[in-house]
Amino acid sequence: MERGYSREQKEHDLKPQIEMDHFLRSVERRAFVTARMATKDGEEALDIVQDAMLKLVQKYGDRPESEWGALFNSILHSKIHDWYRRSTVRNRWRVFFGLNSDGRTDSPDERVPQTQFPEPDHQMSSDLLGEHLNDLIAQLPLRQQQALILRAWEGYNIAQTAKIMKCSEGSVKTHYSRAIHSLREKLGDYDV
Amino acid sequence: MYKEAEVELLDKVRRGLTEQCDELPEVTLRKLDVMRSNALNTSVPKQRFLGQALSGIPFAPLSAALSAGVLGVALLMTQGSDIEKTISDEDVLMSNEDMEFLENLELYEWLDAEYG
Repeated sequence: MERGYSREQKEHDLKPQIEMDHFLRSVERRAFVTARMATKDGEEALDIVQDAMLKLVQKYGDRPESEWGALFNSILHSKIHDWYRRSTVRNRWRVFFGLNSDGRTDSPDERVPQTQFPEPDHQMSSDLLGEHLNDLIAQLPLRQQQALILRAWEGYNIAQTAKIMKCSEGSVKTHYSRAIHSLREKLGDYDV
Repeated sequence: MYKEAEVELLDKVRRGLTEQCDELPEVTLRKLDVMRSNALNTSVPKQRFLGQALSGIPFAPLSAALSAGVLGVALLMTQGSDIEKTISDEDVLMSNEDMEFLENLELYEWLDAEYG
């Protein structure tokens, strides 16, 4: 009698992989946009998403599917945070040596962060407003950006967001409220 | 009034971010496809390997080996309570456990309470 690997068995064994594939498909674009917004660099964002996917599959693939969302976001935001810390250290050295990211020297004026924004246009089209809003979110400090994205876009509550961001619920409330306040302040003159 | 404005703002935030997802260039989508299949192919879930491995093994020796294993674990568990008492924070830090796993313990506890 043949002791083959039956089709049913194969399908049964592949089921976790298929479910994981569906899950990753459902989150990959949002993950990329989130990482790109934080890093402001498409290639860095792809690296972060790739690391997060690998880690989820390798380490937590056997966890229940209902936990994957929180686990994936926890890994993703932790990777973003790590990237941010590394780039902060790198930038400190660059500033110290007067180099920019391409190794060229900047004039001191070029190093001052942008603090003035274009005059608001009350008749601004919805598309332009959306783009402007995306820019403003990208300019928020990382933790405010993360709290806003996790709460407003991913739909996590305060307790879940705190676990994912590995901070207290009070910190989430503060980051989130500051993010909203900052957006409202900068969009104040626009017709939101 | 303020609440309404905030709801409207959050709606705009959600729409703006979702539009970014919908407008990703084809080249990025292809890269995401490749990354996803790489992640899945380099890390096939354990159950698959287990199923394939067990299909070729004769039952009797496997059963004997499993029995011996279960007996060994049972013996260890009877002493487990004493062992647990002696584990300190230092032991945890000195163990080879992935630091990230230790950092995430709180998250796992929450996931367990939430979904377990």
